[in-house]
Amino acid sequence: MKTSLNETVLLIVKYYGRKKLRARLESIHENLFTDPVKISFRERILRMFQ
Amino acid sequence: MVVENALSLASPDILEDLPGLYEETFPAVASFVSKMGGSVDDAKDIFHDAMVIFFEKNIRPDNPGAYILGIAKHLWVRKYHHDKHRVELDNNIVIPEDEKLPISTKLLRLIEISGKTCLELLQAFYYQRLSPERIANVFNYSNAHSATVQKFKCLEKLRNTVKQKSLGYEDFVE
Repeated sequence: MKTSLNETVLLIVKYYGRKKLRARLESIHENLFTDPVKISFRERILRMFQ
Repeated sequence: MVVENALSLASPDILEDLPGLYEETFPAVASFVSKMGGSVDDAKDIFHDAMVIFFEKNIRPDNPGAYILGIAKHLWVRKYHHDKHRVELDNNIVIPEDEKLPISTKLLRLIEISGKTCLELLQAFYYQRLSPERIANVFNYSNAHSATVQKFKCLEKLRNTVKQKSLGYEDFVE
């Protein structure tokens, strides 16, 4: 596949931004499932899968 | 400039309230995945993929939660095609095919390490779509103009890095 330099640069920036967004989503998820303050949220979700 | 129009952009205001949107929206997606026989991890994976698509679409529907659930349903059917008759899809929602990076993960890693500061700045402009004023504040530039000048320098630097590292360009393509 022939890709121009500009397109490659754009994709790299997009990839990097997406990677950061995914890391942030992971961090929020981790917090929701470990923070004692969020226990009712966690239990509500886990009940769905019992 | 090509770059200005070609990237899909995220809405910064929504990004700022990401934890709130997550807490509000994840239960509906989890409930859907549960009904389809998936696990909590499946729900998380589908939800994160749906959130990324939602932000990159750069739209502001009246009900973001319903829209994200709609994306999640499409993603579920894409992944588990046999469930397509069990899921009512919103045909107004189109999910993109994922682009494949035209460079190897090894080269990408090198770029990430050597040009981290510039990548941070560029993704703030083009992916998070923060204003130059906000970026100047976040990155400690004296004003918006300085931030914009630095953005163009970074674009040039990244172009040059890719060009240099890709002298045997096809060698880096996976």
